[in-house]
Amino acid sequence: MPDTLDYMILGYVVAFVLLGITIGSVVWRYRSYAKTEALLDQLEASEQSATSNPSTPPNASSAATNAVPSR
Amino acid sequence: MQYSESRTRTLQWLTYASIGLFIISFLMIFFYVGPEQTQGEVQRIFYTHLGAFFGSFLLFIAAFIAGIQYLRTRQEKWDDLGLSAIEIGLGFSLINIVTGSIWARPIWNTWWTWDPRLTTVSIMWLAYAAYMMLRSGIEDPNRRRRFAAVYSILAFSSVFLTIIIIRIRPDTIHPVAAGPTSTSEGIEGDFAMSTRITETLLFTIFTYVVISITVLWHRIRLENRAKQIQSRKMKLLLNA
Amino acid sequence: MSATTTTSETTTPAAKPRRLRTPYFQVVASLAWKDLRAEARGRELVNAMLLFSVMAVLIFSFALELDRQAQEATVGGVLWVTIAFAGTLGLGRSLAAEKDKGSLDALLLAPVERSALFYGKMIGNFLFTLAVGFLLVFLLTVLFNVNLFRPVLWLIIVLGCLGFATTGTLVSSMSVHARAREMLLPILLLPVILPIIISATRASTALLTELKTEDWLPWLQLLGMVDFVFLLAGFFLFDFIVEE
Repeated sequence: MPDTLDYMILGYVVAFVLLGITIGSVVWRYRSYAKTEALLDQLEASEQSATSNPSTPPNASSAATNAVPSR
Repeated sequence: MQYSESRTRTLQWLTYASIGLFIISFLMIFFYVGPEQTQGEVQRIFYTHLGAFFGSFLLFIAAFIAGIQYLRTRQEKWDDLGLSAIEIGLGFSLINIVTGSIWARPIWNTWWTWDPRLTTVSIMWLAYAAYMMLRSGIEDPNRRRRFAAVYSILAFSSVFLTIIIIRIRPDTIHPVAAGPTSTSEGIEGDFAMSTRITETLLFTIFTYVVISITVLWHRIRLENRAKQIQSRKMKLLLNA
Repeated sequence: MSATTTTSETTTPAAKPRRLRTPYFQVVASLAWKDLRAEARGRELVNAMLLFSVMAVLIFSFALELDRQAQEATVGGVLWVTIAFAGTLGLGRSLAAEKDKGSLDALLLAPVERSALFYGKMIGNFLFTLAVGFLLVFLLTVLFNVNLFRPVLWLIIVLGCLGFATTGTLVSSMSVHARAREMLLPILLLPVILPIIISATRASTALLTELKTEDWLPWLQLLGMVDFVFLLAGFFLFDFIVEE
């Protein structure tokens, strides 16, 4: 039986790194979108309170989220 | 969110299932099967190599169907499916190619050879990479979706070629045509070992198929989220 | 949904007499003829393609100064690499010129089948690529000292150029709309035409190195099959590329 352990280890390291990049890119974008969404929530809330009603409670932003057409 | 409760729960369940399956297949590859007689330890790469191939294969088929469906129905969801499937498929396909190359070094004595199937698989990867370039090159969103659908159908010819090349050029040194073949596998001694190899192989392929479906689903949700953010941004800009 | 059904209902009666006026093959022929005549006057496309291939072959023959046996083995590769690159050069020009002059839009307004437009454009591109191919037969015979005057090789060239022109017309009609179209065309085109280039190269090389028939015949068959698939794909997909 030939000694090919090194190549096996190399193969699995590369395979798992690539798998990690594939899945990680999705996870990473999820996170960055979550940050953007939080920022948008904030902006929408501040805009709502600035334009329509200064005493609007912060949960008005959730109404704005629901207004987006669902698919 | 706007998703139905049951679908979200299914996705959650799939995510846990793929993590579990991944761990089990990992344990099977390294502890359940023994090293193969003629190839030694490096043969263990083979399970992941094939698993990743089937994952990418499934994803590219999904992209092909999505392309046809988009051209027929013009529903954006098909375009999302196509883009997501190709993006994830590129990752899986790359795993397939790179592990194959590393496996080939000790076994075939070369990192790379223009074996028919290796050639067609690398063409396949390049075609789908070009798909991503096409998408980024066209600005009008309607046209981008349409051209992307057309190109994903064209690119599928390379997947098709990968399947049939074995029939045209039977002189490939690739050990596997479709599933495990016992002839070139050189399976060790007793029959019990060969069934272990087969079991591990099938289980790993199943694992990678489940993982690819799960990641695909998450990727589609990501796309929906990106669109939602885009429309909210536009709304804010319009109001400002 | 209802809007589309009503429009299709109103256009169906009008569609019948219009198909009588311009038969399918007449559209194809006249479009190809138009391209050929325009080329005969200006000659900028074919001249550029031919000049490019002469230069490419000179570079190859200089860079690969080889003994006779090695030349036989490489000449097929040189032939197809040059055809692919010269052809890409021509395709980029062919549809970009149509689009910039606005004649593409005018063609699309004409009451003819879209696929007939596709085959018309394809035949023009096919003939230009074929011109390059046959020039190369002479040139490589002289410069590489390998006899390329063989009927089977010509069949391979015809089939290869046909597949190249079909795919190329389809892909270049997409890439003209892209931002960096000159850059995008080869990137989009090469992976899709690689099956054609590979099978044509393998068949040519096997033929020129005097291998047995069963060594080049499968590649020739594959080439024919890929051609057929892409011709069919062009028929169905061109509609979607040029709509709107």
